[in-house]
Amino acid sequence: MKKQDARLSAAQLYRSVDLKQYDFETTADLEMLQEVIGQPRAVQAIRFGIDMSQPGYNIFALGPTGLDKRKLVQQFFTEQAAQQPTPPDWCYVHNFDHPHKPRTIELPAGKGEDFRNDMEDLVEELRTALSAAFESEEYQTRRQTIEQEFRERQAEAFNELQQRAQEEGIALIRTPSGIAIAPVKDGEVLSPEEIQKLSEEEQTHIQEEITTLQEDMQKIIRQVPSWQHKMREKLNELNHEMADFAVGGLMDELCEKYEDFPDVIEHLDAVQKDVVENADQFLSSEDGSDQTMQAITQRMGGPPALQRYVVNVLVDNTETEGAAVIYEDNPTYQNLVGRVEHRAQMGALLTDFTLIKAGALHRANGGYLILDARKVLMQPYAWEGLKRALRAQEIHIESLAQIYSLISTISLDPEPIPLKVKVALLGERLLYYLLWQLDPDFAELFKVAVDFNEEMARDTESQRLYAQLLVTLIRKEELLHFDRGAVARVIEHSARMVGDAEKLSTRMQNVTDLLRESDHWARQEESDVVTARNVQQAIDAQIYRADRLRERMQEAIQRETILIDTTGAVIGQINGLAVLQVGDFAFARPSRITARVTLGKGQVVDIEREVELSGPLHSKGVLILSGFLKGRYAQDQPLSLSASLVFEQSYGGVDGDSASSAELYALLSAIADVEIKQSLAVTGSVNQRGQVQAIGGVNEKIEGFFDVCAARGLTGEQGVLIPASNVKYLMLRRDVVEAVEKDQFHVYAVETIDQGIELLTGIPAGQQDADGNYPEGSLNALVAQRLKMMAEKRQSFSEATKEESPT
Amino acid sequence: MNTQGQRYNIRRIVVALDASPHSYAALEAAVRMAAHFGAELLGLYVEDINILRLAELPFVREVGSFSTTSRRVESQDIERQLRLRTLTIQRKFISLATQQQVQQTFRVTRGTVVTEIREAAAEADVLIVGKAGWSKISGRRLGSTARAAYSDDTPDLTVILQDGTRLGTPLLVVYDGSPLGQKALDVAAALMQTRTGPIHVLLLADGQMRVSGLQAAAAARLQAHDIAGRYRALTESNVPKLARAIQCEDSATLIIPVRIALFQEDALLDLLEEVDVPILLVR
Repeated sequence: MKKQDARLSAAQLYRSVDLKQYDFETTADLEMLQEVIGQPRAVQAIRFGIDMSQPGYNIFALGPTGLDKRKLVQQFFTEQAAQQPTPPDWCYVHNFDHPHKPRTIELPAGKGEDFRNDMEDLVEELRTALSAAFESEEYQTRRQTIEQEFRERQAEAFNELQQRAQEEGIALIRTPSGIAIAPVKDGEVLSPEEIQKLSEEEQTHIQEEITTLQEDMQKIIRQVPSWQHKMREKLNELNHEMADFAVGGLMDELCEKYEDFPDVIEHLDAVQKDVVENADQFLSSEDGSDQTMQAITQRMGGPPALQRYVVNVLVDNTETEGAAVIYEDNPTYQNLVGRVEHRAQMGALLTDFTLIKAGALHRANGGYLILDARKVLMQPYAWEGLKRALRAQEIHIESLAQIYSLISTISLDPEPIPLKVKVALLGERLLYYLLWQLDPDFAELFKVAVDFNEEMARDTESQRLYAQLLVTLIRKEELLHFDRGAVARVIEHSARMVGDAEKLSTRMQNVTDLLRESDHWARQEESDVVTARNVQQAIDAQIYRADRLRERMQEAIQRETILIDTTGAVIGQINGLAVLQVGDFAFARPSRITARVTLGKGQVVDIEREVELSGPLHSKGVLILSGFLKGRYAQDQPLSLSASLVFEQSYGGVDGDSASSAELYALLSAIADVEIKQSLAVTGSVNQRGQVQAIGGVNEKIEGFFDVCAARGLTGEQGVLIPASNVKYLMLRRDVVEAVEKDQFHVYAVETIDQGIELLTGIPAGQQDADGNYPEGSLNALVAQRLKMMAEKRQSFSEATKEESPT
Repeated sequence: MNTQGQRYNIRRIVVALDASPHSYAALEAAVRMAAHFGAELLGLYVEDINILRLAELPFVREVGSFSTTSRRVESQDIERQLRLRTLTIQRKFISLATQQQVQQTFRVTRGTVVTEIREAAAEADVLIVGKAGWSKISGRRLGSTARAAYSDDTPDLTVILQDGTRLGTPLLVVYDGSPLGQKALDVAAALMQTRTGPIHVLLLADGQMRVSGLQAAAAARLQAHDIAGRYRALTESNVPKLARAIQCEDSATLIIPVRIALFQEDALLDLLEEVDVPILLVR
């Protein structure tokens, strides 16, 4: 191939934006972009995921950071949510039958707050109504009547006993520990002497009477508890009657208001029953003793007395319009599923239904929830909790401490709330595939993959839309407006960001950063408009902030600490090009690749591989080139060489096969004993048929070698060989393009090894004829001749060895 | 006791104690009154001789108030119980009296309760007793000690109160125009000393005609003490009506002459049964 044919023109090295396609002066003249560009697959997937209402069609938005995945997903969710009905409010109320299992009540949006307020008002009104009822004259009179009845019954019994005793000259006397019956005279107990003075008959009569009276007193005393019980029953009935009356009217009003909500009615019935049973709690004073009693009661289980009737509005959608779209930035288990809080009282941790707190799933119920996948996975139990809720289609608040503790403590088991939510996880691709592979639940619950593109096609139409997209970002960030040139420069740099002249980057975060920084530089100059120069300033500044290592490497090359030739020619030595990625910045590292050949059995030794500094792809590249050698030159004779290849002065790992063509050139040079021009560098992978294949980082590689040559002074002979299939990726720096324009530097696109070797050696490669021979003096002929010679030598050595040892 | 013009002075107070809730209410009232007047306070506990005698009669049995078990009355047990009760009462007495920095004496005697109390009260200006003690077997609201205190002639002032009440304002004086009625006004004025507010006066008149005269007399008596009065008349005076009138006044302390011309001798006992507020009987 002729050198001239392979050489690229300056126009082929950088695809500019044609400013004629833009009819605006600055972005102030442009409308913002209303549609989404560059993500047709993702958009369709999101719409599909939203439309699929069946369980399991949750979304995983996959792609690297900077693609604005969250923004896009949120935008679609918000648009859809606005057309959906507002989800209901959810409340927790006390379960009077099972206090540790609070019940849920679903109410239309906004009604939850009403219900809570109504119940609070009810409690206050009940206080007043019950106080009035129990302080009323009717109640007091009836109560006193009941108590009086008991007293009278008791008094009557004792009076009758006393009367009988008195008639016999006997009295009932209270002792410190009971009641004694003894004979008295004038109010004093008879002494033994006085008893002795009585007749035998009188003494016996007295004793018999005392015994009878004692037995009768015992009977009376035994009856007292029963009378007390009956009195208490009557008092209870009276209390119930009064409470029922006081409560009934108030409850009827509420029941009428909530007649369309059976759960509320059921709860109100339970409240009424409980109020009637515990009416005395509404009459408690506010002194310390009652508070102490309340605390003790609470410690034994259950919320404080009047707290039982309040309503915990867990989810309040009063202010919500349409369905909710929630992004949970800290997706811990509790933040997702909700939690039951505790409070410390009298040295113990207590809880009740009022301390149940909503999680993100509650807030998003009926709508949409967006989560960062990595964050969810990093939080203990959060992933399992989320899956459990999605599988069961309900939110069941369980305390992790209770689940995983060794001792079961009393806690709450709130009634689960039905869940209907669309979840979108955002994460990297690797995460998605790992989950898909390793978690069997994942594929069932997240059926919709929203795969984001990192780049989009670049054409006139897409560039126009891209400009509008920039306008949207500029306005959102409140930046200065960009002129046409600045817009064009940003678009061109967007192509450079993806390393492809035919594509534009969709990593909007990076683009936004560039816009912000360009704005900064413009403002530094007190300019009103951002120009292309400001954009370049921003790009240069970004590079400068990141390229300390590149600068050091270039310095090492210039100082010849790292040996790289850029002039002359050497047998078996070539300039290869590798790319290093440091953070977000990539740069080229020119490397000297050398090859040595000796007589051998056909092995091509990759020294990097021998010392385990070669990655598998690099090793594969070396094996491929040795396959090429054998395929081309060892059809009629065995390959009788031993070759070694090495990246000189490389002390770190090497991987990838982008240098395999360079290694092959070096090897051919060493075999043919022909010099390779050191003014050229090579990048490109080779296959077994000698075709040069595309590689990555082509722009960085060309610029890397250019920088070495430029630092030493361009000679006009220097350049880089790249695969022809990489031409469409070229978006080179301005200085490189200018050097090419001035014929001071060159970029060659090659398709085959033969093309490349011609450029590197200046000797035609030579085509094989029908007899399998190469033209005399061609490089292939030189290689073939050398290999034939080596084969013959090896043959003679081996025969000589056999002669020397006949056995 | 001294009567200086119309000023009333109290120097010695006796309070009867038996560890019942009513007697503790009496104790608190006694301590406060002693502090108010700077008087000496005697706390008296009488070990009822009748209880000790029970142990001497072998055929007497004691029945538990709650357990209903019947057991022999042993003198050692009785003695022990009485000692325990003494200790309890004494501690309570000393504690309350010391808090109010009252000059105090605690005495234990053994004998008939009414007799011992009468004897101690003879030397005192005021006797304070609980409305009922432990002897309230029959359910009657007024105990034997309180009944006896009502019936006795000394001292000049006897206070009867029940558990849950305390001497306080407003004071209600029952005034019938008699010298005792005037004394009752003087006592009320003395109790008011540093307090503010009118004294409520219930005028017992046997007709509308007498009301204005009674009121004028009462007002003049109170005026001498620089105290205002609030007046209400009862023209048909019987005990039930009087009891209702007293309840309607919503007062904290009732001061009433022990003999009222309009009522029969023991008619006021029924009043003492009915009324719940502390009663100060004036002789």
